[in-house]
Amino acid sequence: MSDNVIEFDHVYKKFAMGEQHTTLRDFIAAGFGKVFRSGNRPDPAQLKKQEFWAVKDLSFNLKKGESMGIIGPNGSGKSTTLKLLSGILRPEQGTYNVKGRLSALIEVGAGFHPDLTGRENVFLNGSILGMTRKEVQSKFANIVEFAGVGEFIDTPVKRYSSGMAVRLGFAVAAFIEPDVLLVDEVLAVGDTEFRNRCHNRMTQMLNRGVTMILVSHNLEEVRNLCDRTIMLFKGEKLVDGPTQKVVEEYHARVVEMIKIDQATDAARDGVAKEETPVEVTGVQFIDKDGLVTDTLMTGDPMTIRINYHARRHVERPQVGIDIDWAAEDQLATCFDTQQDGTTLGPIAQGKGYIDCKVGPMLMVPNVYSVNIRVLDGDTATLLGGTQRNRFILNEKVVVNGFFGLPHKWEQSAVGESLAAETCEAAA
Amino acid sequence: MNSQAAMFGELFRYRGLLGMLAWRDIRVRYKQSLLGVAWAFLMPLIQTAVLVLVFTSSTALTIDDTKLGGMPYMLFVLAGIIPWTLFNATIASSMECLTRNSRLVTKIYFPREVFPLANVLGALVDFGIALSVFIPVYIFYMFKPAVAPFVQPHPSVWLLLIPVILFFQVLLIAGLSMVLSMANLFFRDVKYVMTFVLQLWFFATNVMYPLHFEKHPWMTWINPMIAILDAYRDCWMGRGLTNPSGLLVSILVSTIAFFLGWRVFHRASFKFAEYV
Repeated sequence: MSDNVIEFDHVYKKFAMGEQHTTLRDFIAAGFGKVFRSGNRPDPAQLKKQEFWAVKDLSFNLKKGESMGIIGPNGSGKSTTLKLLSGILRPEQGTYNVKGRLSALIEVGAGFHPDLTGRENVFLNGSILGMTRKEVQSKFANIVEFAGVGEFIDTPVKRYSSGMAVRLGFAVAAFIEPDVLLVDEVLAVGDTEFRNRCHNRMTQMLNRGVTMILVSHNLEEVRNLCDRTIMLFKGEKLVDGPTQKVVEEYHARVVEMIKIDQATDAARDGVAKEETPVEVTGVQFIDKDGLVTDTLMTGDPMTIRINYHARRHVERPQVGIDIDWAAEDQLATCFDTQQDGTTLGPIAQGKGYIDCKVGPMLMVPNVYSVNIRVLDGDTATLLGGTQRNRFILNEKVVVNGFFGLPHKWEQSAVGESLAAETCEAAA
Repeated sequence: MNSQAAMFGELFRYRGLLGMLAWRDIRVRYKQSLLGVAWAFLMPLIQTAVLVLVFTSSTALTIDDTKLGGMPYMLFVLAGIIPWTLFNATIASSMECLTRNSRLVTKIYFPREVFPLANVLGALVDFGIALSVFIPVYIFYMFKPAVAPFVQPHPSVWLLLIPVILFFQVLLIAGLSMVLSMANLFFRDVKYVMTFVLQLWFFATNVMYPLHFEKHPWMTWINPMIAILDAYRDCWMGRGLTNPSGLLVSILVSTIAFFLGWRVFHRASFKFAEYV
């Protein structure tokens, strides 16, 4: 019991949905009663109308030097858990305990002031993160070097590129020496080189015996840094175990969740079905061997087949495709015929399909969700569409970061002089 | 109380941050402004000039010189307007000190008290600058022969009381700042209400005219600023306190306002991240 650095014991935290009273006028209009009726205060363990559990009955323990990942779709309570741990939020119920100096890389550079120089901001942010002036002083050179902002250190941060600002923010945070480190999605930014540097820094900290909790959408990162992972869904812990197993489980769950979503969508559509001029009856994913599947491999091409049922003739149809990260509902990429300069032939009344052939898929392995829109090219009105058709992308070709770029290496021939080449080019 | 000690302890551990945030506010305030530090002393000077002009040249509106306690009007106004500006400007700027820092409030933990308190600290620097304008004027009147009913101010041991009065005035400001910054976080229209309230408060305070309530002396107790401004002036003139009971009440009110305000603020601070 006593060797646990972090103890989280049956913690509950609720939030209210919808509008709060944010002006005095509204508040007075809603009646003072609410505040002053403290005699029979409602039970904190009960949900009132419009409230929901952001974190529900969550328990876990971490020993010194352990690192744990937290994964789950948006709104599953990951960030709330970190905020509870760092003390920003107080739980309604349950207890938690963190031993030692805690530091959170929840949002690096949150304390930056755009009008101050990089140097001034390093000191400011250092003290916000709990460092003394002396500590910052002694690590200043390291911080600047790590951030790679060099001569810009005396320039106001508002003139920094967003990448530079983030790097500087992370650099300050990277040089705190905490006992417990909370990390929330900080590495989603920066170039690969910088991300590697951050990675190394975190590994160093882990080797030094830091206890770490990492919240990330990037499952690769969780896999690399954490031995153990918990998966949250709607505030509850669903799975807890070795990272590899939990990540696999996560993929399976996301697929399941989307199936449920699709079912409810379908049920809803069934009730309130409006006859659209072009009904998209189905979307199929066809792999490189021409088989319909929902599991594809990175590096392979894919064909998206849009099956439709047109109720009328469409002279100039336009088709758009969005590909989202399914769990986060975030756009990964999109394309449409108009942008591509492709003119589709007219759609005749009746059934048919349109294929979109996608080249080698160099995206990070994950669950993706595809939305289709069919428009009338003349009037730009929506004729029909479908949402949330998911496919799973598994790893065959390694993709680092979010996506891969097709690339090729070349080198000058042996013995060939570069100078001679440039002379020729000039001539 | 134990929790009070814990609150002090935690704040003390974050004193470095308190200083940094105050420094940030000052730095940002003077960095990209045309006149920079000049603002801090030009403002009270201009205000005083306007008031002196109005009250000395308008025949419909005159100040009864005998009610100024022998203080030349210019000195009277300046001695009042500088501490009043500290009060007024700090409270006005405290209103947004939490909402303006919402990213920090929702992302990183430290005692939230540092925001309003750093704001007060930053305002004290402005006060110091403004005071450096007051001193030459004060010295000028020290040597300028006075015509009755005016008297020359003479520095005495009473000057030592000024930091004490300032201390309690700062407690009052800090207490109000904490409550109001918190109120404005929950209800965003508090700052509009307060703009109005501060204006009324100005008229109910002895900044540009003396206020004496001979018939109802307790009326000065309602507004703690009245006795505070009187006490400053008494000390500058070196004549002893003219309203000691009022000052005592002000000190009491300020102390209560500070500790009560802090308490309320501290209790509510765990809700800030959800509402900001």
